[in-house]
Amino acid sequence: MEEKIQFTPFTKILFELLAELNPVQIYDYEGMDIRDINEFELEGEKCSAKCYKADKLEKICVSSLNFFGQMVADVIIITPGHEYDIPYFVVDWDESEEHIFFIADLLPSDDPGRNLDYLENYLYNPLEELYQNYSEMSGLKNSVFHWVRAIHSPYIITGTIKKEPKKNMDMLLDCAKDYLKAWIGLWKNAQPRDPNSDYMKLVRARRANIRKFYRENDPGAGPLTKFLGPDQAQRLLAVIEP
Amino acid sequence: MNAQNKEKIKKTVFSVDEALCTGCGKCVKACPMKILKIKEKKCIMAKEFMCLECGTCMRKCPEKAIMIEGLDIMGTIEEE
Repeated sequence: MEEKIQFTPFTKILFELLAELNPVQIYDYEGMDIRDINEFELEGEKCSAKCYKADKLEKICVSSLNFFGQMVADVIIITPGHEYDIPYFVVDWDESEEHIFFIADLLPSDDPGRNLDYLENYLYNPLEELYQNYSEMSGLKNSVFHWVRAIHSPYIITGTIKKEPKKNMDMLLDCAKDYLKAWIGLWKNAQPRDPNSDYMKLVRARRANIRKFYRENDPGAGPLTKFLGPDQAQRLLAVIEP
Repeated sequence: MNAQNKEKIKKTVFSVDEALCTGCGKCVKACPMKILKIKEKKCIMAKEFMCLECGTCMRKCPEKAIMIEGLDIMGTIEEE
């Protein structure tokens, strides 16, 4: 009998760091009842997709999908509220028997090439040192998707990492935790902006593109549609994605 | 949501252009579900119901020999 793969309790570990945000679970999103996707089973394996509200944020999404005990896809995406220009927090940990496909990033709400203050305050200051530390891991490479390369930050850490030796996994986990702690630092200091200002109009335009890119191109749509059907897949993606 | 029934899960329609496939095995290594193998120097899929349709094998194939019904060349859902 094959031994069951022991997966890292990734979302549990990271969600503990979010306690200081006082997240409150919500059960409908964009007018959709999402209680049936909060906890469910796929072929007997436990899956979940939960959405939370918190101060300064539109939503915190935490999902964990177990496919036949062969792979677990864990995602946490935090979407800022419409009066705040802080980056999104994005982490994806797709663990199979031998590998982890990984993404960690603070997805910028403004173009850091146009807005150099944004680059300095929201990306360079919190992430430069971390990036230099983690970007040397073997297996990292830029995303194959042009839309990811276009909208994510220059500090994205992504790639497929071998689980052995164990120090690889420890380093990936540390990377996710450090990026989240960096984002929490930005969240604590975030101040509301005038939503009608020209600046926030640019932020909204970029965020609209981010949402459009994700909802139209996310490779996760294929597996979800196949296993859950188009209706539940669409609702789950709406909850998960920025 | 109830547990899905194996028989009810759609079988992925997977095909390989045998003229292009060299049997290099990169798809086998890349598949997170471990359902690809090389037989007679060509890639084949076992347990089609388990395929995530994530498109990883398509993106990893250096010869672009793999096709999955419903996915485009980048391994993402084809626009209707």
